Amino acid sequence: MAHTWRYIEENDVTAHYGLATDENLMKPYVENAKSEHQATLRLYNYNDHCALVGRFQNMNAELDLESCTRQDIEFGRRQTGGGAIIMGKDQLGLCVTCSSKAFPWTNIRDLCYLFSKPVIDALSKLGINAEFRAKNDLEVNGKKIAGLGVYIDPHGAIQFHLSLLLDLDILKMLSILQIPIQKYSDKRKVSAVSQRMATVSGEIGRAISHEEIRTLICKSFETHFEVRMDHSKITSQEKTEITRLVSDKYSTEDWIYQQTPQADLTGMSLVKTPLGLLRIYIGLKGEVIKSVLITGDFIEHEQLFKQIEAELKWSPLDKEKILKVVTKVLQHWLNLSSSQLEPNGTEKNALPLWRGEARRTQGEENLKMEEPEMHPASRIPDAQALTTAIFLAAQKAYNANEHTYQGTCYYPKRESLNTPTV
Amino acid sequence: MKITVNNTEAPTDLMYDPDNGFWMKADGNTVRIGLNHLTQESSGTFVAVRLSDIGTSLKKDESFGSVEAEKHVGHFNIPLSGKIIRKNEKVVDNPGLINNDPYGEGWLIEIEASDLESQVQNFIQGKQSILDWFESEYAKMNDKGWLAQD
Repeated sequence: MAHTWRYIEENDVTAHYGLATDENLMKPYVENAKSEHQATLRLYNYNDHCALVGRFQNMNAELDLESCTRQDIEFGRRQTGGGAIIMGKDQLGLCVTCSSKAFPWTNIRDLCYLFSKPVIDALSKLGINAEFRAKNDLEVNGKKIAGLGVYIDPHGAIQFHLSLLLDLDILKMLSILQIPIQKYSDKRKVSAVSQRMATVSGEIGRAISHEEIRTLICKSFETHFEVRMDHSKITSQEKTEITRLVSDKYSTEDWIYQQTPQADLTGMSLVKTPLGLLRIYIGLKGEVIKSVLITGDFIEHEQLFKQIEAELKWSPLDKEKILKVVTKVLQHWLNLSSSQLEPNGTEKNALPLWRGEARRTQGEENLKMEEPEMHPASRIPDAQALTTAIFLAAQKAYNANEHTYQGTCYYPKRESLNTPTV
Repeated sequence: MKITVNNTEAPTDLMYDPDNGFWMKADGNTVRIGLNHLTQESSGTFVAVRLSDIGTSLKKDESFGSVEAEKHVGHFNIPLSGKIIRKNEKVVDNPGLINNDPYGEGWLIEIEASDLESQVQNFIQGKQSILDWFESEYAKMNDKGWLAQD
């Protein structure tokens, strides 16, 4: 006999209620608990708008809290990891809860893929070709369309989160999230984000209702897991428990404003290239890269840079490891052998790579601009130069620790003297 | 003395918990606990670590801390019962130590174990046993593509 899953839909929930509900739905799946359902699938949306940070993020570093207050935007802390997001009527929240023993998985990537696959299949029914990306996101043509996160409690219950962008008010998002391109003009900021994020409605060229997408996803889970969905509502008993979780945990200052020892830092470096000026923004959490943005006055290598950005997300800030990632992506991009990509190799260096190193120019304390050489035959960046530029952005972040820790990006003092107005 | 399989290592003077990926080093009843090389490698980059307070008494499989790696938040479930007597503050400040030095600066806690002898019977110990187990674990993880490919 086929298993059944519990299926719940909810609309316009508050941040704290939404998160507390997901936690409460884990209860039937802890060790020794009994559930008539193999798992629970909840599809819901938040009030316009909420901001949610990851389990160990520092709230004031991720969100512009003054802006949130001014715009009456509720914010909360998730149990799952990952970065800060905004949620509202145009974003679909998906939560699966189950026992860690309910399905065959042995690795977090397995688990993420297991519960993402029905969403990928549902999107394909709309003609959207979404793929599972390296750091647990779903992407369409290199643009992020959904973020994923997992929490496993000490008693073996799993909470899987996925947030799917049906649509996105980019300016609203930028007014809430602290990202290291705040100094850009609105037009440029929107452009930088829209090059990296996709939405369902953008992909299909029309608005999509919650009813339509939820039906598709629900059916896709039924098909994928060969289960029957038991449609239900949150019970009054559960509502009481959720209300208690909200007041005891999710709405408390201890939970919301908890700090981790790792400072959140942002920094930027500039590399002058024959293609134009390359700006590299970096967000760090201690010695881990939260995000990298590589922007420039050209779009020739947009896909390449997006792939490097995606691969570096949540990687250690280690120059050798960054070089390895950049080299790997360039290798994949060019479909060349590893030795051909060695920046300081011998005869095989007659390759389409920049020759030059991004390093701080003597006497210019805050601005690094070096003009790398470029092989006339091509316009592909050199792995070493790119790595050095990324690392330099990180160094700048560290140099500006005090300033950035308050949630504003550090910019080189002489930037305006040397770079085009943006 | 250590076993090396490609770039992953397992010192032979440690005990290994095959279920939860921990190594343990006993000195009398004091046991230092950390994550083994394969586990840290397959977990990805550690972003945050929280450890329970010194003095906390725990039964086997209870949580002694929480951790974030690769957008996954989970718990460290202790491989044997005892009381926490030391915790590694350095790893709380810099979780990357688990990735960079899992058997050294990346250790997690020390406990005063209760009835240590009976508790360690299920752990992997001794050079040959460690070699057999580690090679098989490596092969399993490598087949699934969980280990970094150099």
